[in-house]
Amino acid sequence: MKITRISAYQAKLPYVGGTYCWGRGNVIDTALTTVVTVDTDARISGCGECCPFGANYLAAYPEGIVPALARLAPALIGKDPRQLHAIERAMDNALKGHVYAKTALDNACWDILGKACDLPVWALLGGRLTDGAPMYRVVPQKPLEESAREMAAHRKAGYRQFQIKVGNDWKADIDSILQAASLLQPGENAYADANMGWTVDEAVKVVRAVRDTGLMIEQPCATYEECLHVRSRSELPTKLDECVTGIDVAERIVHDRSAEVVCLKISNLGGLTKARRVRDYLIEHGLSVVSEDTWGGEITTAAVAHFAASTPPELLYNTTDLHNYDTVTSGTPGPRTAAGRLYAGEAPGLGVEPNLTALGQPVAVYQ
Amino acid sequence: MKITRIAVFSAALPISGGYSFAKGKSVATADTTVVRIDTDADITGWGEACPLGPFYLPSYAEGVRTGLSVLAPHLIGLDPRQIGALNRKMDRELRGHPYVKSAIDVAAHDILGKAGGLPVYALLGGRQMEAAPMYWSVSQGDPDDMRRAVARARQQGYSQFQLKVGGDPATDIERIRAGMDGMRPGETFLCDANTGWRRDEALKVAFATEDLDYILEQPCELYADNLSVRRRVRQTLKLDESLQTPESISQALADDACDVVCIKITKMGGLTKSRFARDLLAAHGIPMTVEDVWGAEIVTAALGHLAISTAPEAILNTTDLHSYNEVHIATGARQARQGQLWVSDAPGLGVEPDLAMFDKPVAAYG
Amino acid sequence: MKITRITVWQLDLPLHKPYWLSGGRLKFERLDSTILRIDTDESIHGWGEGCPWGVTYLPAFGRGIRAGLEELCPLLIGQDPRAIDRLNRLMDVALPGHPYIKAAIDIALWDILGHAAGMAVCNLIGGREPDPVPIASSVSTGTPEEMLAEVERFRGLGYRVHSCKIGANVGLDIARVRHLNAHQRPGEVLFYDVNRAWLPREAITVMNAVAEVQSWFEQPCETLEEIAQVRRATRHPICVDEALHTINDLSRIQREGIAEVVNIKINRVGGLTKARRMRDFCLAHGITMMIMDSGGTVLSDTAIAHMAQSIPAPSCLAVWSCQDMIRVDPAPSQGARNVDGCFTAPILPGIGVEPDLDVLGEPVCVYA
Repeated sequence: MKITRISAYQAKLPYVGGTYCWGRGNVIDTALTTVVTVDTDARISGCGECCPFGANYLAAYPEGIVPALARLAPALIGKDPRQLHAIERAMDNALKGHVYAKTALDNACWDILGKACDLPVWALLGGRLTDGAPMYRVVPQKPLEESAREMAAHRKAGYRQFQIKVGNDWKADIDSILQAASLLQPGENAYADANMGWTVDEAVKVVRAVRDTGLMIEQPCATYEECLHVRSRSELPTKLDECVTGIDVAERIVHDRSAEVVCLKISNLGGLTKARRVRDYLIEHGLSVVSEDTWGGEITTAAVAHFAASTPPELLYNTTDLHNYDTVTSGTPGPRTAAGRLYAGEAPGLGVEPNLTALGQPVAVYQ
Repeated sequence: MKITRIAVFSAALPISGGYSFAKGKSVATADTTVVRIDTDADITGWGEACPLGPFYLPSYAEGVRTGLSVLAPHLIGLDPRQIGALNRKMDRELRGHPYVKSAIDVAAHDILGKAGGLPVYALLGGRQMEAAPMYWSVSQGDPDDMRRAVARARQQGYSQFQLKVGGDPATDIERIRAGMDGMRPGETFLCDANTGWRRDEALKVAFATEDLDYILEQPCELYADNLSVRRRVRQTLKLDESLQTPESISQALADDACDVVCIKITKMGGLTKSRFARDLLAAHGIPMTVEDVWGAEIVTAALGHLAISTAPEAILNTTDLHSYNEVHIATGARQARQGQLWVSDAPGLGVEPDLAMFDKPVAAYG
Repeated sequence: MKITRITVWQLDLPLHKPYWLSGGRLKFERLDSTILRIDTDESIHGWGEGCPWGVTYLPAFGRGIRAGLEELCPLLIGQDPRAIDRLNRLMDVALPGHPYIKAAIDIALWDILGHAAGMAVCNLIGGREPDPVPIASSVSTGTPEEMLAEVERFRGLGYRVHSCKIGANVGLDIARVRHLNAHQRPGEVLFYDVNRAWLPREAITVMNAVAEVQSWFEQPCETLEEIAQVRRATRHPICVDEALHTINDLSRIQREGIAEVVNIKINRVGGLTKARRMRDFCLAHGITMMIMDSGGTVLSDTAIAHMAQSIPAPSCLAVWSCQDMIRVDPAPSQGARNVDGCFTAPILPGIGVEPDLDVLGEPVCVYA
């Protein structure tokens, strides 16, 4: 089997809730997603999706994907997409770094491998260890009464995990965290995600002030080293996210025992091939993981769902249905969700096809 | 003063004889991006960023221009002399991708210098030497060809030579022996593997050439591998690709990971970050190669100012990158002769780009 | 351009009222400042100042500056003042250590470079951040009520950041901290500066007794080792001040996670050049700063202001002003002044302060 053509599409994904505030004063309302389809001479095609969350969240920006594909795609035309490690090497030799641009191609090859074997991707990632992955819901940076109302609505829909967005104003954040803790019901989890927003001394003050809540704190500061410092001053569990950019950081986390939960964003790691390696390494060392991505539609969420499904349930902290945060669909069908859980389907490959109506004409084609 | 326009140009730089280095990589023609920043004060600044192919460092030419298409519109109307604020604005609009931001930072220094009537070196700590010593880089190839290339460079007045190794270890041992054959007193040799070896390959080459006095540069890809090799070989160790940010330099100092460091302006993300890295290393007594990834005359002007403002005991060498290309894009700025690099005392970078070459931008903002 | 002459003045700076710190162990009534002017062959000159806080606060004293200048000034005559890194290196080779002596010269060199470029010093070291920088008041050690009254007084002068000096008496210190913390106003920053006065066990006792306090404790003990020990047993953020002299100290603070905040005093670290390197290191590693000095007139205060003005707001919490504590002003209406509890670096070339020769009097020495 050989790759004959690679096409890239783009579409705007508006946030269902209007504007989304994160970290220290950042605002976004629409993301730009890139969907890549890979066609073969065996009449099997695969798709993948990468949707950076704006240009300043991670070292990834949506406009940077297609130019990188101009480097990557020619290296893959004529290659066998089922040889996932050979594809990975070919991409890394064609362009150093820029893992976000490699994600959609890597995932599309997994899609093809699954279809070629007539197996869903979770079956190739270790099997379905988790049937129905628990999802979290975001409680955004909004006035406290609104947040309480949102939490109640999510609870009704079956969610048991809440991510409180903080990171903009450390004093107000202390109140948000204390308030959220008081709203929790037995069996529920909440954690405060600063998305790199605090300075180190602010983070230290926050974790001290909320230590009695026992709530987990996520990515308080920008870098791994800064988060490590905050952890040394904190009695609260730690979750790391944005700084988890590869196996090297995962090794440091294990060596330093610097987190209890590690968020694996597939496009931050460079696709399922690299993400799976990091996931397996972390769970081997008893660390829990979150399966998710930066943003995206149904195709991204399909990959997230298969990744979550193939993670042992006691080590899968949670996942999320990214496609339900958008008002536009990138593919069909979206992974099934019910009572706060995300399910990966039985269909071969990723089990999703691009929504060409929304995606329109390709912005680039390589053959 | 406000930025009124940012124009982005691209130029092909054929490399004389091509340039080959580790793992079979080679570049015949580099694709450089030149940035011109115009202001409402009739002062113009120039910067240049030139990745060495898409596989040397995480940077590629089209990525420079695409990243600039996202960044440049946000910079129109800002004061280019507020270089700290300019860098923070760039970081707020685009995370990471330092190679995209570098040329803007260099152009801003050009403008600040011109605005103040000062050469850029005066903004980087002031002149510390008349001219900076250069090394000549010998492309990876047949051992005898490399020996001849060293001899030719020696004739032109170079006394520091960098041999590109990092291929097959047995051949690399021959390359090192051949290249260093005829080494004269006072000369410095660097053997640069550009991440090409596994640990055991690096040890094999290092042990087999233990009798020779050279600086071993970037033997392996992973930081931990380089650290492991360092603990076991006798050679002085230089790191380049492992150190891409000022924070990584702090880590290297803490780990005693190397004795020499390579500062490349585009790798670090501009003169601001490069200067800080240079100052930190100088304060810790670690000498440096002060240079850039690749480029033509504007790149050489920028690296020349950084080199000339580095304390004599802190600079190992610099390089005249423009000399390796067959196309030239500017005059003024620097002279390279007899193994030394001079810089201009004119305000700013002191470089005059060939305006006929930079007539039609690939993109213009503002 | 060449340095042609260096003129040195001594200026007594009596304090408005006596001042105690380090747990009341140290008393100060008068500062001994050294002001110098570097002249060049191009009708540009630069001013610098070195003013230790008495002789007991740090290893620095006024007469030491003038003695050290005897060693250094002759070497600088004829040198190009714009080669600032080179001249710093020359001074370090000629007289190792003694950063408080070199700071005065380094400040004057930046003043010259600023005039040569027609730019404010902050614009040469990274640029001018838009917001004025809050000034931290210095609340002298006293009873809890006395200290609160002082905070009140400073509030009246517009200060929103208060450095409350404590130390040396565990019971009293706990009372001081609790009393001040209980009366803290929203939007105000109160922190506790121990000035090395505690032994490690005293620091641990006090800090753990006041767990509800959110602020940081500054220089709780004498050395970095002792502070690291205290850190392991406590949870408050910590600021290092007197133990931060060189970039190596800062590297160690970062490597070992000893502090979240550092107090960079221009005079103590050897001038603006060395302070700027520390600033860049802090920014790269997420360490928050305060920019201060050991003492001086509006000339020193303005040098502080330029450094602080170049730092983005979340990373610089406060500066310090000595001018309001002393009864002498050699440059009335000039330089950085307390406006609504904040400093702004002047929008003038160089440092932007030209002292009045009548106030300075006769120079104590002229090098040419």
